[in-house]
Amino acid sequence: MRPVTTIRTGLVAAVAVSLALTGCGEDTETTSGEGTGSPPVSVTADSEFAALVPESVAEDGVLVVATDASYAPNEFFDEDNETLVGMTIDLGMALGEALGVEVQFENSPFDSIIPGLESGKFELGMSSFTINPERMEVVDMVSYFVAGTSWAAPADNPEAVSPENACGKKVAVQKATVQVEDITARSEECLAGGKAEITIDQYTLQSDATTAVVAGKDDAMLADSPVVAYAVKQTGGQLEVIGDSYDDAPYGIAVPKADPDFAKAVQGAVQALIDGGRYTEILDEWGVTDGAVETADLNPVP
Amino acid sequence: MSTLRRARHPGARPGAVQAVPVRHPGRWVAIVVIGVLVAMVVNSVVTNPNWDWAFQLDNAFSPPVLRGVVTTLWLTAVAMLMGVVLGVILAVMRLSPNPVLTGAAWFYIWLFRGTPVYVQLIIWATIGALYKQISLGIPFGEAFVTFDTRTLIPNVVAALLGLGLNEAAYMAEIVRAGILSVDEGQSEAASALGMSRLLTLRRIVLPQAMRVVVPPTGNETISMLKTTSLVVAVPYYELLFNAQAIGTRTFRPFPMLIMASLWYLAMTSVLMVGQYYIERHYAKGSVRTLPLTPVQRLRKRFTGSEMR
Repeated sequence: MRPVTTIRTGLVAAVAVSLALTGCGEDTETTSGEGTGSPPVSVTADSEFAALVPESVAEDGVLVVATDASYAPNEFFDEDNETLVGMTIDLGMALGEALGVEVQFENSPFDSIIPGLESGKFELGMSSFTINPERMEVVDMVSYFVAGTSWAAPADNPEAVSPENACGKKVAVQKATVQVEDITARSEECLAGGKAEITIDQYTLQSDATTAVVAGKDDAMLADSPVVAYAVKQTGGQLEVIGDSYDDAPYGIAVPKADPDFAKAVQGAVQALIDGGRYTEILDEWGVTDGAVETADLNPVP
Repeated sequence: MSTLRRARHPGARPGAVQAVPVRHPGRWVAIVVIGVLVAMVVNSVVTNPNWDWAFQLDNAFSPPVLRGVVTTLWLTAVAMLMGVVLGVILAVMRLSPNPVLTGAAWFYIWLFRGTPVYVQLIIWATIGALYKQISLGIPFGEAFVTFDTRTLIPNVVAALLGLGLNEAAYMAEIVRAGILSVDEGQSEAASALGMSRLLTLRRIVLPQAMRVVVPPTGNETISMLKTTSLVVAVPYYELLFNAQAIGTRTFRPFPMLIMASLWYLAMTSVLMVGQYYIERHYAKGSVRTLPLTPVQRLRKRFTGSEMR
């Protein structure tokens, strides 16, 4: 879910982004729950931010947050197919505590989340949104994580696909993500270079794209680096990461523009989670500390 | 009451009839209620900027949308063709005296009608996970030619197999109903004339069955036009997908959904006209005078003359 153009921000530079995401599961328990075993850092509602929460949200005390639960380990369904789990979900819950409201996550198709924020159906969007100018035009974005794009292919990469050499291959991608633009641009390059175009299979869910590659229907897939790393781990050696991740860019919490104070409240609360240590704990539980940031920025300029 | 009373006295002559047209106050109420509702809807559709008609018009004839329309149309046509041809074969098999053929046709219909077409589309799309290669050769023996499943069944073929094979199961039942509707005396007369079973079927039974078969087939075609939107499961990109892609990119999904719906309505309208004329064609054998076409009816209304 990332833009094609490389986004360089101060906060990206501030974080040492290790690209060896495949190894992240070896020394950290990444499954779920209280992975570290130590009691979680408590989060208390901060009256300063809670006061900025719009009345419409504070009134019923419930914050409706939309997410597309097909994007493990960031946001996905637990084994019961009902409970939403993931790094995003835990962060959202902690965010609710900091804002003094109860968070209620709702599963929604990825491409319906931002329109839902505009129409007032949802009050926040947390679904691994890569911050890009187009999205910032319609919603406010509060950065909270950094991820790149990486590629995966079936083990041993039988078709010898790489991001630079995908012409004539079949590549799976989730629809409406920034990776669609990425792969479309690559396909156009192939045509311009006189080579065969890339067959782009756009799936409604990221999990469908992963399944298609495992089944051998597609030769490779591309998605956000934590998602690809987790898919490789979960499929038990059927997939492998190809090359390094690229185009590091921040994830943002999408906040409706209707009330500008709300975005400031979210930004302050996320910053409080980072400073208080709860943030690091959650990232650690899901084995995605490589994408940690030190500051939460409101509408960061690329 | 007064007329009744008068009738009891046969001697009395009935007075002049006071003819008053029957009043329909209900109609006036309905006109007002529905008129107001229609005005409200029209007003909101025109004035609510969220419909974004200008944006819809900008995109309604853009290349991706037109490509989607063409894909939807030809997917419908080819899938229906597969459905009709296979459906006729299956219906004839089901009515055959041969129990093996009957059983096989029954099994096919049971299987393809009993599972969601969405699931069938996904299965055809990922059949390579079951069979990496498909070979032609001696059963259980040597293979002469081997195909890679993925090259043999690209997305477009998976989409057509999913739609067409599912449709065949439904068409088989429609055709069977049509054949059963033809009076048995027709086949008996044909065999008395020395016609073979196949010739009877081709010359006598099927043409008469068409009268019953055509209306539901038109129904199925219109249904298929909309079912093609499920091929996104393959994935294959038709009208709805391309319209939604524009909506997603611009964060204006709603106008694009309306635009796609208007396209579907336009296409079904054309199909309905086609169905009318096909039905008229096959009605030849059963009605003495064919019903007038809308054009003929209009002409009659304005000139008052019957068609020659």
